[in-house]
Amino acid sequence: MTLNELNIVEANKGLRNKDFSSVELTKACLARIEETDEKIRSFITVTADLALEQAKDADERIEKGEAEENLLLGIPCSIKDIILTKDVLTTAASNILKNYIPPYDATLIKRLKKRGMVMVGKVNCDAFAHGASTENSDFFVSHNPWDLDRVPGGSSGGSASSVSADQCIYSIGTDTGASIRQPASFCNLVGLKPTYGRISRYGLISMTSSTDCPSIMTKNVGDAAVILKEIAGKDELDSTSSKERVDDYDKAINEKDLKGLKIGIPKEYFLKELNPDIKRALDEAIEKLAKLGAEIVQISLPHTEYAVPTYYIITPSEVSSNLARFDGIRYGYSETRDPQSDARNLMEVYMKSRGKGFGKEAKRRIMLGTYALSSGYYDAYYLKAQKVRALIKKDFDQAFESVDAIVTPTAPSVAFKIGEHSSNPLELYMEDIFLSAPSLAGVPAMSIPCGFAKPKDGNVEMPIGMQIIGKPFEEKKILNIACNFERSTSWHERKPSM
Amino acid sequence: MSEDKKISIEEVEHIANLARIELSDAEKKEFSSQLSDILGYVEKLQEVDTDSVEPISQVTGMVNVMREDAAKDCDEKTRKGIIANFPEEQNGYIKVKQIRN
Repeated sequence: MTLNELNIVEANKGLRNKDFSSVELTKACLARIEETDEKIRSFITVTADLALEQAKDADERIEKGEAEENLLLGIPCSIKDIILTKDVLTTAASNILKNYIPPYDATLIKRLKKRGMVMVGKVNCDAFAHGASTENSDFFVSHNPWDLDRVPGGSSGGSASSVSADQCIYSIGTDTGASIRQPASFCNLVGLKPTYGRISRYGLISMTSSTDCPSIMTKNVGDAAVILKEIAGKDELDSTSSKERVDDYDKAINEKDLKGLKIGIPKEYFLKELNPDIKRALDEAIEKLAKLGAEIVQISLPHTEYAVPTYYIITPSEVSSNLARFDGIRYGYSETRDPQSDARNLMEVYMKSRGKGFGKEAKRRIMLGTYALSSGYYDAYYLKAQKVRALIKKDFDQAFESVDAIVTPTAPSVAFKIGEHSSNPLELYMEDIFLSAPSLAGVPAMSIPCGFAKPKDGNVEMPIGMQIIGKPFEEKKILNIACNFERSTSWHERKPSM
Repeated sequence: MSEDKKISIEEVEHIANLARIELSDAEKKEFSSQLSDILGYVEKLQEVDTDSVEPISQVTGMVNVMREDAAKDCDEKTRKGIIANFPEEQNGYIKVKQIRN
């Protein structure tokens, strides 16, 4: 095994034992990027010099013994390009920000830096996180390391492809309606979306302020627990961040087994139309959970079918507000930077900067949101969606009165081929079918590997993910369930043959 | 799809104007069709009885998270970093075009 193939816990052990240094570990990742990224295209910006500098600093700290209690020290990661990194190009994968250098770090970045992070680069995503495949990136599409003709998922596609191809040890992305869980399931990784408010949103380029969650992409469950502990917690700069105590997630995952735990299986997520490969994998996984001691309970989340339409009113509405700041005045693409411009007044600067700077999906969502919020339509669309949202949340509140966690498929299929859905926006929205409801309810949810299937249109066995949903702030519980499952299976150990 | 689009080209122009986005004629046509499809799909929500339901706009349950109304200073490097992003600047101020013709 090469150094870049290690996970966080293994890498930390190696660093502590002086088997290798953070610089060597980082060089291994950078070499892997050099060797593979022309084909995979995870990275918008590779920060090799910065990474080696950070690795050198980390090695000094490791020398002093800090790696004994600090598992993230000196471990190379990638960061989704929707998270602000000071002095490092941050684009949201959009032309409107293609030259934007942030003057500050996101809070989660500050916290990771304090713990000695090594950042190898900023990874690709759908522009402004609008999408499920990276096909909406204004720059290029990322490829799934398991089958390069397929998407890695989205919007955190670059996070998934970079970790899955061992170009780095972990990645931080975001999940607003699906965006860490779906790519995790497409790439055989662990994708953890915490409770809304668990991790500070300060420094995220905002998409849907009421559901955006910085999220974690790792090679296994233990790593996700380690990272969550470091970046969760109240932040004065994010008024929606929670004061709830941050648990010792990394210790908690080994504390219990599944005996006595009730796991709910919502019938609305297992309709007869469910892809038979996905059904088979989930049935086997659920059987495994039962063998491990969990009690499997049939439940109902009656408003499930309304989650996607609710999400696709609320999201564009909030997006239309959040993207108003990209107006060519303070930063980003501006009509006034163009010497050939014929803009005569402020209004034309707005209209042309936004018209030229935004990609199609961003414009679509802004327009949808503007419409849904406009006078005469607000009640029928936005207000209605907020009421249905309350009902969706109530479904979960009621379900959690009788079960500890809920298990569902993550995605309706394995990774699809590049180009398969990109001409029909609605088709891409339907990818979120199992994932939108937990986002709207703000509950924690994670995807873990639970099987493989060869799709009809391909030759390669592709990963399948299982979603585990928990009560607000019970990340400890879902991580524990995931860890128990992982320990008795070996899906997560498989690697793409690149 | 029906000829009678939910969102006509004129409505697309109106929304684009509200959203301050200049669209090409091809984009207007494309969006008229796509937005109509999407809005047709979300109509599904009308099936749900929400008569006695209070809307929620955020799930944290938190209210009135306040801070001191006091300005915090910004260090010089950050200030320069912010100014460096301005498309047009003069003496550290953002320069904008005239508001009217």
